[in-house]
Amino acid sequence: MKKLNLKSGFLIVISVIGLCLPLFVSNPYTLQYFISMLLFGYLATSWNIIGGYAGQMANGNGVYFGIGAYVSTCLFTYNNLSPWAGMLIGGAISALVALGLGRLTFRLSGTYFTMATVACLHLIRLLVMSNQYLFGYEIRGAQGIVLPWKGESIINMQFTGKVEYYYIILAFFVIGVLVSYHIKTSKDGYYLSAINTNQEAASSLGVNVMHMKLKASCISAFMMAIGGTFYAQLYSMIDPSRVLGYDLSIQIMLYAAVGGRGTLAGPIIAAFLLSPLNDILRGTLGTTVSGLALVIYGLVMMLMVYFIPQGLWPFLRDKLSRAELKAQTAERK
Amino acid sequence: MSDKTVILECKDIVKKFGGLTAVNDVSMYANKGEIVGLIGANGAGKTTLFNMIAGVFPPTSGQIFFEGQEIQGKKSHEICRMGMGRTYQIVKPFRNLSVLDNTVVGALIRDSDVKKAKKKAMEVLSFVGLDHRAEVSSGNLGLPELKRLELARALATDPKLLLLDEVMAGLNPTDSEKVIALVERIRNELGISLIVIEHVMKAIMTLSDRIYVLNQGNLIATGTPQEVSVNPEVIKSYFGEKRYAKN
Repeated sequence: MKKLNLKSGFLIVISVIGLCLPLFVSNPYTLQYFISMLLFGYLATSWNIIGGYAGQMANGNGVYFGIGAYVSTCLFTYNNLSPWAGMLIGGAISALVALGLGRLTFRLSGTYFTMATVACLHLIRLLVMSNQYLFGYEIRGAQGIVLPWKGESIINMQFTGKVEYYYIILAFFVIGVLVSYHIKTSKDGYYLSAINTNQEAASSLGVNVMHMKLKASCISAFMMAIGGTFYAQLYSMIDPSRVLGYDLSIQIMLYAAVGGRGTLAGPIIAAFLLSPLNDILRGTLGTTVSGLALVIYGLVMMLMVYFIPQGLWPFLRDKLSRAELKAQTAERK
Repeated sequence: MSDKTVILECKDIVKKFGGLTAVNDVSMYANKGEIVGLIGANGAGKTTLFNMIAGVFPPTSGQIFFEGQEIQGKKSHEICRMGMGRTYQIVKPFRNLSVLDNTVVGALIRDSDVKKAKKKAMEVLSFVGLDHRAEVSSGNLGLPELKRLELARALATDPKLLLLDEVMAGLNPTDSEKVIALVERIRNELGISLIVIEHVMKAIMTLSDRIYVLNQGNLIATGTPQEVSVNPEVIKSYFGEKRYAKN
């Protein structure tokens, strides 16, 4: 009971801070840090459903982010469709692509699966990069699309300040975490973690392995795509190397891996710590020694993977429960 | 066991891996409420036969009937849903999950509600005598307990027929005795039919109503434990030509 109170207390404090943050942070530049924290927390949570819970090392899942960004942007720019509707369409298309790709790639295992997912990402990136028009929409190849300003409004998801964006991504993030929590604690979560450890045994216990992997992949892709739409609206500019780049996929996967794959909190904690670190390093060192920021960032990553390979959150949780156990035994004495 | 309906029947099963014939024209059946033993030397094709029955891979030719329905070529999860459970010779626990959660994965097939599945899993765990270990991570169990966990998981799927692949291998005599008693309880109290692969002769002789003997993919003998144990072919395959000639 005591533990439960501690946990819910912690959640309440975090929620209050999250909701009131823009009241204290007026500098849009600083607020941007928090926006990208939440965006990456959301993306890492999305990836974690297929990469963590189901244990499928899909390494090119940034492709769904890119599809989401491009679909909603094209519809917004050329068809005047609100990004809120566009992101649902982008999500649906991403989920369909995930379904098709999954049918092919989930037959592969281990490294071959990972390589196939990377190949899919590059294929689609090159397709977008080398075409001026795609499905009748002017996507301008490598140049990318600049979103037209259609006036500040919720329907257009366009704002002059950052505060509105902050609340939108906060809402997405909370919904993403709730979806992830629901999956983890439901039948699907049990089935996914069974698939994660031993597919053959899972199958003999009645788990339809292919179906579960496809389901997880589709949900993950849908969520990623919505993140893509948000990104496009936030920066008003998308191009293939940014929204369909390999870096992004790696970054999202690394957050989940460093934080603890398959845990609910791990990817979020890692994204919250590492995404601002990345931004701050680039902001402070980027102008003096070019590249140094990335070197330091890379070193931090390497050290974390080397010293706590099980992930940050499982490591912390282990420490916490040990400390608790110690306290309990001390109390008994 | 007055009820003599056939629960599982294999007709002329053949399995070829490339040029190798692992199982050659094997026909067998199991009645409801029966414990059927499957014995044979290493490489006789016992596990291959199990894998075909449980849907891991389809037979090259032949038919398998489960409760009168043809099941060859169906997937493992479909066959499990129909009411067939299995354990593995080499234990395959979900090491990242607790003993209870391992069993819950099995129970979820009959009830999608996690809470109810947990309750059911707990009942199964106390049946196999693992309830006191429910919260332990399955990665921390020893072999005897892992074998019980395999049983618990399979039982949680509510099977009508259970395939046991060497649940006693690697256990000491005391632990084997316990498992024998448990297998008998599974049949007598839960009314589940069983097909059992076992190397421990004493165990298979006590447990089985009927025994099939495989040798290099061929069925060489079948009958009650007494009949099989005096069959010259069986003695030859187990002890070699010389010993057979002497006795």
